[in-house]
Amino acid sequence: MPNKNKTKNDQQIRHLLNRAGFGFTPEELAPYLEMGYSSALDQLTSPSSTDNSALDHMLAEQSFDFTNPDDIKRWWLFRMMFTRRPLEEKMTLFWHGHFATSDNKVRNPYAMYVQNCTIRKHAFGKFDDLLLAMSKDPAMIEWLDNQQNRKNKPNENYAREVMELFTMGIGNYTEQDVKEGARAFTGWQAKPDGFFFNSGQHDKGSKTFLGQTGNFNGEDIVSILANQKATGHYLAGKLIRFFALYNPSNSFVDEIAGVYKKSDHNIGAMVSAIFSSHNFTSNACFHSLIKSPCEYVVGMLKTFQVSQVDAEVPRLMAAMGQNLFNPPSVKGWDGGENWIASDVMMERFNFATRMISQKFDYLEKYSSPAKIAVEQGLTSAAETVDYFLSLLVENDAPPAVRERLIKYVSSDMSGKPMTNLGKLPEDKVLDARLRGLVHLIMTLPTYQLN
Amino acid sequence: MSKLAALLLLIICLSPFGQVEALAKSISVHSRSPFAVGNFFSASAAAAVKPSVEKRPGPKDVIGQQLVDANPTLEQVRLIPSLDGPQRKQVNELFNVYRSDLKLLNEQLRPLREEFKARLKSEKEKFDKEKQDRDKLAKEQLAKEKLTKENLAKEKQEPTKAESAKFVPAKEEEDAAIIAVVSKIKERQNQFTEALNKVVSPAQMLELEQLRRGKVPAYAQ
Repeated sequence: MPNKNKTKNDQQIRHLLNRAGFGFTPEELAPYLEMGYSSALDQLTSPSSTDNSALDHMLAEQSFDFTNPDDIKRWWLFRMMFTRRPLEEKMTLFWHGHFATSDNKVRNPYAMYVQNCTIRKHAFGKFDDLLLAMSKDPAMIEWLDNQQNRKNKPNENYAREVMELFTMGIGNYTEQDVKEGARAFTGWQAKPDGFFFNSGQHDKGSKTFLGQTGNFNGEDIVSILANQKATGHYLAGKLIRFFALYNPSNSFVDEIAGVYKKSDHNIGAMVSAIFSSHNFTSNACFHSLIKSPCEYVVGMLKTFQVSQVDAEVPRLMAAMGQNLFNPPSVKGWDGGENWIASDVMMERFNFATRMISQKFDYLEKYSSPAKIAVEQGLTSAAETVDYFLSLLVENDAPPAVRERLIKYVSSDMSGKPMTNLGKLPEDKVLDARLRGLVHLIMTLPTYQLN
Repeated sequence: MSKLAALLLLIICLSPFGQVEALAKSISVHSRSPFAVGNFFSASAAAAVKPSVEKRPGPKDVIGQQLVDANPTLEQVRLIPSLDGPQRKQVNELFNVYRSDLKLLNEQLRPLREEFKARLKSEKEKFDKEKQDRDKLAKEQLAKEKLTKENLAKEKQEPTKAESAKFVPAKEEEDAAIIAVVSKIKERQNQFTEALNKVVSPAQMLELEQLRRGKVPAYAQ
């Protein structure tokens, strides 16, 4: 049954691209389908091997002001939409939620932008390097008050969060560890050109931290934390919940934590192991996560090949519950069912309305549903419904829904039957019908899933 | 057999389906994607449709546009890595005075603009009321004159004066009091530019410009 195998393989690659990125365009999908799952995974998890100069050229043509809070959001969305290294951006988003830092407090969009670049640089490397880079990051120092962490008056904020949220998780350290850790980070400050070690404010005395004693500084603390078994488990659980399953089995978490240890804390190896796992390719994993606003919005923009990031997109995403560079707390975004709480769900539907309305029609590349139907040579209601169900929800819709959608496309606004789609794209009624069809699909429960 | 094939071909060509296919082919030949040309992994800087980012438009009203301050903010100037301690102190002082001066000037401008808007509103209401009265009067007049055919014809040809009059609002940017304060604000902005340029060197301003354009420190590259 080679065709059945191919279909299964294609579905898994789509699943991989949805999880490892933000959806795909047909042109993006094609080469991955050609290379197969294993090579696609290799390509995604080794981003430096993919030429991304086209994105650099496109970015150079925009006039972003990186001291402007709105511009840094548009810049990142632009990257998510047009990068050829989708997992690099997805990992950056993961770490942005993990090392959640908010410009609401930092009040320095440029520092937030630099932090984002730092995360991207270390996103796939050794966790120790990323943790150290974040410990020295000016935005983080401001965010968790380490600027005020001085030898005669230690501030425990960073030392607490680095254990509770960034490495081991709660229950794996004592209050004394927090106090000793804070002493090690005294004098770790920021200046406009980056990290500054203020030796006059550093406590050079002996500290006992997680059972080890020495004249520790921040680097020692980072190293000790990265080497804790609990850190491997904590990161494995978080990565799995972000990329694969909300409720993974203990054995799956143990397996990925084992990769953390064996690979000398290599994040890329952990992510690769998650995507290679049968837990990821199983049916239970398919459409088991709820799309974040980023995935929802960028995915939709990519599906319809919108070539312009609308000025309003960051604000609309914030209304959906994901304000980039402004996570709600030190814990980042809770995600999961919170993404579709009643107060934000309507914002998703409104965005879908905006997408299929005439708003984007002036864009040269924007593919209206009618344009897509013509390009695909769709000539019947059933074909059209099947195509858009496949494009938008991977055919994950009950037969009764499909039938109702066919009925909807087959009749005009007064309910009279329409015979075929031959008059596209000029027929305004048909055009409106197809926009309506796409809107209906985008408001289906399965379109909210990833 | 060949006749049947020709007939089939004719049906396909004449059918709407055939037209759709032909159109689809022409679209697929001409359309270019910003995402990829040919191979996703090949460079596609030459893609025909250039992706872009839409910016929020600036202020729509003329006064708002005139008041746009080209000077950097204190938060931006503080980002310049090479600013030394004394420079930072001077910059803070400059901004403190500048902000407080602007605050005072804006406090002068705000009531003037509000007053202007209120005046405009009241003039419009007065105009509308007068127009309504004139219209009413004209209608009553017409009703009396409708008795004759001649007057009926005249009614069709010539609209009443009351109908053709339009309210022409005064322009905020032409109001003498507002102009005077706006000029003071612009003057203060220019003075500040000069003062700032005496403290911050052109090379340092260039540093700021590079940061604003996205230059990243080596540790984050």
